[in-house]
Amino acid sequence: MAQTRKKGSGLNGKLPSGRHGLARDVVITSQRERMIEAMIAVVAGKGYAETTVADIISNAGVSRATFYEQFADKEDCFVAAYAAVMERMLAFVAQGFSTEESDDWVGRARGALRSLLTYLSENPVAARVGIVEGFGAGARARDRYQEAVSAFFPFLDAARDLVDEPDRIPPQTARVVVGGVSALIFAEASSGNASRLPEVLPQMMYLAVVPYLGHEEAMVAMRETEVSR
Amino acid sequence: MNDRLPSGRHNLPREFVVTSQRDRLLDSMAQACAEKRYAEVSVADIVSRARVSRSTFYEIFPDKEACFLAAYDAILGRFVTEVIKACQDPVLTWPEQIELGIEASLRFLAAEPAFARMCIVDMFSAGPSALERYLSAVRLIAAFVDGGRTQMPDREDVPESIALMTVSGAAVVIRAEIVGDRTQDLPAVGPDLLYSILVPYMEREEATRRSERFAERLEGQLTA
Repeated sequence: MAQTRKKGSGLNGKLPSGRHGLARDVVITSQRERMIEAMIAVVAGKGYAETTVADIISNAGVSRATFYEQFADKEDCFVAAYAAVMERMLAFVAQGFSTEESDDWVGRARGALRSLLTYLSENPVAARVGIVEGFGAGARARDRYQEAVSAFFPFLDAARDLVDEPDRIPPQTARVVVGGVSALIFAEASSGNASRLPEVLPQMMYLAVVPYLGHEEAMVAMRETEVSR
Repeated sequence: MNDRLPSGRHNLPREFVVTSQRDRLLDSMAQACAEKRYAEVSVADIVSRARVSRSTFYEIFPDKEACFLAAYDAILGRFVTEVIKACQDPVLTWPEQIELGIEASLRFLAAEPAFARMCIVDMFSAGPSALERYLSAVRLIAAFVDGGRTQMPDREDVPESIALMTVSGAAVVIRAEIVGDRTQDLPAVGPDLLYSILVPYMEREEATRRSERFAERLEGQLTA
């Protein structure tokens, strides 16, 4: 997964070396972003365990000293990369949830899942880092996973507004759904089939709807879900 | 199992000594994994806890991963036996079997925190063989849950992949409890897991009632 970078190609490009009159914080931000992008690219290529700090600095075009100015160690950099990927995933979910024309929750949930699966199928690197390596990398990353996933719960728990006695739906329900969705993405992404992800949207719709609205509604939601290609 | 054999000449058959050393190594691996992350556990750690020499370790196991997997397999057998004993009574209905299976699993994990951490948390960072073992355990449980499509009335149309997703999702809930240092209280999430696992195969109201009754039963045991 070698990445070719053009000079000055936006945030990811390396700044021209030498005197450039840029404020120091701009330089630091640019370097940090390049190291994070390098971490994502390298981990997606050979996995977290095999990734070394040397890989990151050579891919990002920064010195070892620069790396250790900004990150305590490899795992620290991975945690930052992981947070960046989760943030993007969350942004796609939020966008799909709110731009769906339909104003019912099932339509919005479908928009959110479709947006997420499309993003991951087009960016297998994100699927690999956010889901596969997020499960397996170091413990700090794993603890972050627990925090990061809870950001997805409100999109599901919005369905509680639609039912009588919403408090009788157990509190862990959204976590089971998010865990189930991640497991299916994990299975596809770790076997190199991220591009097929949009095909599992109908089953995921069933999974998301059934604990809130029951089997009948979940069947309808699944049947009305067209697979986009 | 933890007692070290007396050192020096003891006239014990060599096979017995090796078994005892192996058991101590497995035990030490599990204990080490309970205290820190698998990645941070070293062979030096394990041999000093087990009070065996490094060369003995390498006579028994080729590497750290092999020792980890052997420790996992050693407890897995007991785990499976206990869960099956709890839920395979033929007079039980399918939802009752699921409930008792969940309860037995969570109780076992709560009582064996070292094993809980190994099989639900460390399996992801201990290499591909460990991951494959984890996934095959999840698939085995999912196959039983998928029985709901035929065991329960009018549910043949539930997608087959749902059981695998709800079981994996339940594992994620368990992992969150373990990582959050609530391993001892694992049975408390049982009613939530029961709801999510049963709800595709029955009316929502029935799954809710079963989950609530399970919670009451657990509370009754606590105060009893």
